[in-house]
Amino acid sequence: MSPATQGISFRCRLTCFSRLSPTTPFLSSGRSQNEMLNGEVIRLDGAIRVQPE
Amino acid sequence: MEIRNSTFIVTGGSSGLGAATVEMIVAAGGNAVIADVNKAQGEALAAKLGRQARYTECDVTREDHCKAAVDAAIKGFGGLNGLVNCAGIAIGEKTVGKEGPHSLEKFARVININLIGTFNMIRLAADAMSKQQPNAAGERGVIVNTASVAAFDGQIGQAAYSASKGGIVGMTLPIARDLSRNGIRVMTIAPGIFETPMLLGMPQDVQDALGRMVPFPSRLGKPHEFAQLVRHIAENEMLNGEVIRLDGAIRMQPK
Repeated sequence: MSPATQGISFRCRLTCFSRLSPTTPFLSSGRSQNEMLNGEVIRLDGAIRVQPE
Repeated sequence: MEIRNSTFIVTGGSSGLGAATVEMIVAAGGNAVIADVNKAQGEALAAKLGRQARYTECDVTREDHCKAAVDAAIKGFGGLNGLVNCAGIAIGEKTVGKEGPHSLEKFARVININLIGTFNMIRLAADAMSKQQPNAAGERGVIVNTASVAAFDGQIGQAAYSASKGGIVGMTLPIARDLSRNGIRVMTIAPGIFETPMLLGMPQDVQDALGRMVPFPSRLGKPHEFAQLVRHIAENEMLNGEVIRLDGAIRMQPK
C-alpha cells in the first residue's frame, strides 16, 4: 500500500460510515430546490471530526 | 436511503411539519406510521393516504406507546428504516414574571416531551433498526430530529423551549456516533418560523410581520419545505451528526 493510499485508508476509517464520499451527494439538487435554506453552512461529512493530525 | 419501499415513523405526524413529512414519504413510495396523540387528525390523514400510512396513538414520553409505534412499523410494513421526530410543544414564560418565578412543572413538561420524548423514540426505533439487515451501502436506518432556531437564538420567555431544543442539538452528534456502528445516521433540522398550526392560528397581520423578519425569502416557511429537507437527508448518506438551520437566514431577536 502506497503512503498516499494509506492516508486515504486512514481518513476513511475516521468517517462514521467508514468510506470516502463520491461527489454525487455534493452535487445533489436538493439544496438548490429549497428556498428556506439560506445563510447556513452544512457539514457533509458522515459525522467526521478531524483530529489535530 | 431511498424513501421508496422504506418505512418511517413520524412522531407528531398528524399535523404541521409531521403531516407534511408523512405526505412526502407516501408520495415518494414509502410507508409511514403516524405516531401522534391527536387521534382524530392522525386517523383522518391515514385514511386519506391509504395503505401506505397507518395511525398509532403515541405520547412520546411513554415507553409503551413508542414500542407500539415500532411494532406498527414492523408488523404493519415489515420493517423500520427511518424515524422523523416532530412531536413537541411550546410555551412562553419568563424566568421571573409578574406572577413570580417560572413554573418548574411547566419547564419539566416541555423538557419531558420535546427532549426526553425525542430520545425515548430514538432509542427504541434505533434498537429495532439495528436488528435489521443493512442495505447495499451498509445503512440500516436514518433518524431526523426537529429542533428549532430557538436552540441558538432563544427569545424572551423561551427558556424551557430553547433548553429542550438545545438538548436535541446537543445530543445529535453523540447519538450519531453511538449508532454509527449500527449503520444508522442521525440528523437534526432547526426550522425557523414555519406555517405550523400554532402560527396559522395567529392573526394574519402577525403572520405577515413574522414573515417580514426573514431576510430571504421574506415569508413563513412551508411544511413541505421541511419535508423536502427530510427527504434530502434520507437520500444523502454523507449527512450525519449535523444540525441544519432551515430558516431563510433569520436570527431571532430578544423579543
